[in-house]
Amino acid sequence: MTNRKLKRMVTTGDVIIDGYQADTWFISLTRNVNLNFKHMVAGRLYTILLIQTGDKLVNWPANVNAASLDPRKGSISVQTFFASDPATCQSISAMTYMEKP
Amino acid sequence: MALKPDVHIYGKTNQVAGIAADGVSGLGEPMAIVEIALCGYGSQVPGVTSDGNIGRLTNSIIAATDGTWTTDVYNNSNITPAGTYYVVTIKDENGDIAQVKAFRVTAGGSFDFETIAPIDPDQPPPVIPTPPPVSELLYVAAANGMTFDGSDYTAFTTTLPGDVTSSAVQNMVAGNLYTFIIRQDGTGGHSFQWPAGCQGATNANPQANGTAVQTFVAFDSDTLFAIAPGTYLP
Repeated sequence: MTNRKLKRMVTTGDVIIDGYQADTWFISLTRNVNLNFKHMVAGRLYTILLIQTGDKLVNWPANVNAASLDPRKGSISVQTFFASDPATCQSISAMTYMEKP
Repeated sequence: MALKPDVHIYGKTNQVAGIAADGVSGLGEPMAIVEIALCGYGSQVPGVTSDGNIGRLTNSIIAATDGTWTTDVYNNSNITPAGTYYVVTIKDENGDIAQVKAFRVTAGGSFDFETIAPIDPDQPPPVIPTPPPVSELLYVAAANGMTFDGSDYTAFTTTLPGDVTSSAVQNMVAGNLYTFIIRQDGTGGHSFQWPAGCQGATNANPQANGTAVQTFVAFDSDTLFAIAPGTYLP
């Protein structure tokens, strides 16, 4: 079994989602952030978990389609993408919303 | 039984251009350092067939004052993944590189370093063969209290012969995606109680022989978040 690479981040500024570094990101939002994608490998699935601390916003790049995240404190919004080129990602389904255990 | 290094390599650094044949300055310093490194194992941890991982991937040898050196390594045929090779770098006493040679040894024995055929330096290193695909789908027998263990598999399937009133997940690897395929038997209508740690799970497809498929991302060892609603197949 090949494990996916996981990167855990706490937002201190704009976030770069680098496909060379991980396949899955757990991002704790401490502020509003802009996400930027690079080095995504065409054909791969990438998953981002956004852990909300309350009413933080995420600005997705124009070439990544994603929904708005749950604003409630403690909520987790999950979006999975299919990469079609290094900077373009298409969500494979609607965003899902859960609560942090 | 542990497999021992079966290749003995010996050489003499004073055969190398750039390294003095008459040894060192007389102060006892080594006249050369020989570094041998295993290469070409890609992202996998190299191992010896049936004997676990290799403990040492590089070795530095101080040549004797007469320039002789020896080392023992595994032959590349016994190393997984396939396609590995060795690189030997010989440095003079100033640390300057005097000779580099890449080679493969595919049988046990004793070899003179100077006569081992090198890999053509103008060609890329040997291609590491793609390992054969290994199923990551595990069939789990349906039962109350059934457990899905994420340490070795990323997909699970089960067939419901009756109601399953409790189940669990364990050893999930954070960040991995896990897919569950829940099938009904020919009768159908059986309920499936998802593990408590599976958030956002979709109910099992109640149709006879019906299938529900759902994928989750692991948050920790026993918590999974659905990445999408489950889908039904008839």
